[in-house]
Amino acid sequence: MSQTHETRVQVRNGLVVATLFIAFSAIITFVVTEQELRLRLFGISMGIMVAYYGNAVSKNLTPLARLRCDPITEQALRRFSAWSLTLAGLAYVIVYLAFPPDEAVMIATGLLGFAVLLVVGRTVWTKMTRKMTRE
Amino acid sequence: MSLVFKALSDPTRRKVLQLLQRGPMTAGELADHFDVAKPTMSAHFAVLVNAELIQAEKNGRSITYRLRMSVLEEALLGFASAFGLQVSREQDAPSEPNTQGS
Repeated sequence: MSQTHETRVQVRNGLVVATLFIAFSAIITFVVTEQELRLRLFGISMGIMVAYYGNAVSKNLTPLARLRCDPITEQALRRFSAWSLTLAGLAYVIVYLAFPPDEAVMIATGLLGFAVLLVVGRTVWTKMTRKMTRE
Repeated sequence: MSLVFKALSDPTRRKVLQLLQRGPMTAGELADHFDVAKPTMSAHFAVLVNAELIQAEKNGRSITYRLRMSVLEEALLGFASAFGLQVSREQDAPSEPNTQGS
C-alpha cells in the first residue's frame, strides 16, 4: 500500500468514525428523553471514543519515530500512552455502566485524569532520566 | 483482520514481535535470535509487514523493522502467546517486504 493511499484510508476512516460519534451524540440528544439514560449513553460514548483513539495511537503515530529522537524511548512512550488511554477509556465505559451518573462523572473523570497524568509523568521522568544520563 | 490472525498464529512471528517490543531492530539482529534460514525469516517479515504489524525501513544495505501494533493487536499477541496458539504451517511465499526509504 503506497504512503498516499494509506494516508487517504486513514483520513477516510477518521472522518467516518468522527461522523459516527457525532451522529450517535445527536441521536442521544434528540431521541433519548430520559435524563439518566442520556447521561449514561454520553459517558459510554466518550469512553469508547477515548479507548478507540488510544488504541490507534500506537499504530498510527509511527511517523513520529522518524523525528530525531531515540527510537527505543519513543516506542516505549508511545506504547505506554496508548495502553494508558485505552484502558482509561474502557474503565470510563465500565464506570458509566456500573455507577449512577452523578457518581460516574467524578469517578470516570478521575480515572481519565489519572491516566493522562501517568502519561505526562512518564514523559517528564523519561526526559529527566535522559538529561541525567547525558550529564 | 484475518491477516493479523494469520500473522499471530506462528510462534516465530510472535517472537519477532516480542523482540521488536523492546525497540527497532535490523533484519540481521532479528534473524540472529532464530535458527532458521534467511529466506524463511524474510517470508515471516513479509507476512508481518502485510498484516501492518511492523514497518520496514531501508537504511543503506540493511532493513530496520519497527513495531506498528495497536493496543488490541498487542493484547491479541499476548493472548496468542499465553495460550500457545498455532495453526498448521502454510507455505508462505518468500518475498521481499515493501520497504520505505528513511
